[in-house]
Amino acid sequence: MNENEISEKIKEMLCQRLGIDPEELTDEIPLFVGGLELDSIDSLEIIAAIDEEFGVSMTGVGKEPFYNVKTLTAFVAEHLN
Amino acid sequence: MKKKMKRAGGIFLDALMQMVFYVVGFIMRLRYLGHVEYTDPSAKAAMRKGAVLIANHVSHKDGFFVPIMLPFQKVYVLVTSKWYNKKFLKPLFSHLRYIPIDLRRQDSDWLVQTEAMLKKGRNVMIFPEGELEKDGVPKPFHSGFLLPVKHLDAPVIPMAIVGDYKLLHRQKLVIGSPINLDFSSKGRLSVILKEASEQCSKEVFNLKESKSH
Repeated sequence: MNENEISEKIKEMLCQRLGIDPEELTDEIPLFVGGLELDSIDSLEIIAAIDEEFGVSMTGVGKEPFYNVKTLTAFVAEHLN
Repeated sequence: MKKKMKRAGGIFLDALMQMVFYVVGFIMRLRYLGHVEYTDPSAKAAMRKGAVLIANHVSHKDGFFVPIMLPFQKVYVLVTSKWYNKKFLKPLFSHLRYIPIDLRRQDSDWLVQTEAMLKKGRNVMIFPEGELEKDGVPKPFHSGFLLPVKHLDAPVIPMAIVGDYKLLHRQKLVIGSPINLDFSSKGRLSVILKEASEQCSKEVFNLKESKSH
């Protein structure tokens, strides 16, 4: 799976599971403060979804990979195999 | 061979600890005149298939009181890792039905374990206030407990712990009707869960209020 496919899958998952408007969700927009204003429950759902969809565990990782879709994609791509 | 022996030893230790737990629990039950009251028999049926149990949190004893009062319902209790990892408690918690949750970091292990237990038809007790009530004033519910409920469409059963754990004073566990939650509305997950958790909070505290006098 290449980075584009991972990114598309993450976006689809965020819209479906967190109820984000697909038009709002770009690769660069911050997911939390100063952007989509997601909260701790959303981040828990992101962790659960990433684990379910890609088999990548994000428990205990720092804030950086959660910054936006781009950083999430990079984290998943790095840990996928 | 060594692995098998180790595994058998672990199972034996779990069973032994569980037995000790129920003996101590029986004493606790007598000491506080523990009493269980069902307001709706459908809660019993829901618990046979596995449900998320929620209650108000008045004392650290709550985490022992609930499984002791429901010995046949296979209740697992969510406990903060601050308590779970204490030197003198860890050996106990790790052999009994307790699931740790680390509130200081993005911990999803509790979610995985909770969902695994629910799928097996076990019950998971969660105190959604996340901390003890002070002077009987309820704290707002954290909505994270609804994630496994939403993922698995599991029933939520409200409970009220009534009493102050005073020696030979009636300590009650009142079990209400399963709560009907609707997660189908469109919009942000956090908003939907917050509304549902407020509904759950109302159910728990109304139940407590109705049985306090």
